[in-house]
Amino acid sequence: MTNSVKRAAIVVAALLPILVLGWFVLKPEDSASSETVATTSPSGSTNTVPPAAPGAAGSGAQTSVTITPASSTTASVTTASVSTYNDGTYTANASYNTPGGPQDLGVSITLKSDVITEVTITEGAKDAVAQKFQDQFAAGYRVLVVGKNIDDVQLTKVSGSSLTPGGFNDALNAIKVQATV
Amino acid sequence: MVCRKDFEAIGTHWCIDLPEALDAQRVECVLKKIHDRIEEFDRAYSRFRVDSIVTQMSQQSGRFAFPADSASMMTFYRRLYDLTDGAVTPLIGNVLSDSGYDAAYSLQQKSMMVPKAWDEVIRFHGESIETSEPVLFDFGAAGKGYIVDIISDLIEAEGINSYCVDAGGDMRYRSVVDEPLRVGLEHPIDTKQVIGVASIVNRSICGSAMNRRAWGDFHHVIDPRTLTSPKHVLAVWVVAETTMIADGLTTALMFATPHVLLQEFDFEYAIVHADLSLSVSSSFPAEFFVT
Repeated sequence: MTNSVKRAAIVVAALLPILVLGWFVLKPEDSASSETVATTSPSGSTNTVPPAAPGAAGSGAQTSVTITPASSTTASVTTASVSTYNDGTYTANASYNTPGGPQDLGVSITLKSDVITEVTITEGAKDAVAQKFQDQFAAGYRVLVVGKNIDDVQLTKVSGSSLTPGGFNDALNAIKVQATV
Repeated sequence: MVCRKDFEAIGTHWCIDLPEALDAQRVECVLKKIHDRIEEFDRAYSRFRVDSIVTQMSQQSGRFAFPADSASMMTFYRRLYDLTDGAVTPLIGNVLSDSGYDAAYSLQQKSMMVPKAWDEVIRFHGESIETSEPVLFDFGAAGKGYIVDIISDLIEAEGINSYCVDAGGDMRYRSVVDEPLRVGLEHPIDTKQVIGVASIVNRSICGSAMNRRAWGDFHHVIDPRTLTSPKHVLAVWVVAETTMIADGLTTALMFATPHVLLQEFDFEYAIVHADLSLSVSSSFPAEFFVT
C-alpha cells in the first residue's frame, strides 16, 4: 500500500508542475523558488517529492498533495508475475498557488498490474485559466471510444438512450416535414 | 430463461424475461399484475396524462395523497437535489414542458423560467405532498428506474427469482445461477454500433444518452439553473444495486462529479464525453472498445 501511495504521489507531483508551468508560461509574473510538499495517509508517513522542474520561467508555485486510497483490492500473487504495487484506485487532493490565487485539483488514479489504467480529474480549479490547463491535462489521459457494429458483437441486451415514445417521434417527423416544405 | 414478453408502456418499450419453466397461464397472470402496476404508477406520476396526480398538482396547490411507494423515490430525489446543488429536481416539469417537451410533444419552445427551490414549494409528509403553488413535477430522472424496481419486486413476490425487467435499456437482472447478462453499450452517435459490452450479474444497469430524445437546442435533460441542456456529456451508464439509484445517478453525473456522488452511493459508472473520450470507474463491469 505504501509503495503504491508513494507511486501515486510521485505521479501526481510529477503532473502538477505541468499545470503550474502551463499557467506561468501564459502569465509569467512572479519569480520565486518552488517548493513541493506531499503527505500521505492513512499510513501517516510523509514523502517529500522533488521540487518542480528547475529552469522553468519563474515558478513560484507551492504545492501540497494529500493522498488517500479510494478503494483497493489485493493483487493476486498466485502466479509467477507479481505486481510491485497493489491494484486499486487512489485519489489525491492538491492545492497549488498561482497568480490567479490558490487552485484545487483532485486526481484519481487507478493502478492495475503496475499500470495506470485511469486518471480522472475529480475537482475543478476556480480560475478559468487554471481550469483550461486542468481540462487539457485530463483530456490527455483519456481514451476515446470506438464503435463496433451491433451485429458483430454477441449481446443479450442493449442499453443507451431509451427508445423515444411514438408521440415524440411523430412530432419530430412533423417538424422535419415542415422544415423541408 | 427465454420466456420473453414485449410491450409498450409509459412511453418506452418493455421487455420482461421470465424462466421458461413457468406455465403459460402463470405467465399471463404475472403479466396482468405487471400491467396493472405500471398503470397505477403512471396514473400517479405521469405528466403526460390528464388524469394523473401530477397533472392535478400542476393546476392547484394543496395537499395530495401519493402512493405508499412515493416515499423512497422522493427521499432519493431530495438526496440528488442536495448533491447536485439543485440541478436534479422534480420541479423541472415546467422547464421541460416550456422547452417543448410537453404533453402534446409540441417541441416548440416557449418562455422558460428557472424553477423555485425545493423548500419554497414542496413539503413532503411520507405519503402525501403539500405544494405551496401549482407546479408541474417531472419524475423522468429516476421514475423509470423506480418502476423497474417495483415490477422486479412484484415478480420476486411471485416466487420468481431469475428474471430481467428491461424498460427501454434500463434494466434489473437476477439469475439464481449467477449467469451474466451481456449488455451492449450503445454508441451515443451511431445507434447501430456499441462501444462496449457490460456483463451484469444480479444488479441493475441504466443508461442515458443525449442523441435520441432531442429537439432544437435541447435534449431530455435540462439544467434548471441555466435552462440549457448539458452538452459536455454524450452518454452515461451506471451499474448499481437498484435500478432507481442507477437511473437517477445517470442524470446526476451530468451535474456532479463521480467523486461527490460516490460519497453517498455505491455504484460504478462510465461516461462518454463530447469528444468521445471515456471516463470509467475502476470496477465498471464492462469491456470497452477504445482507440
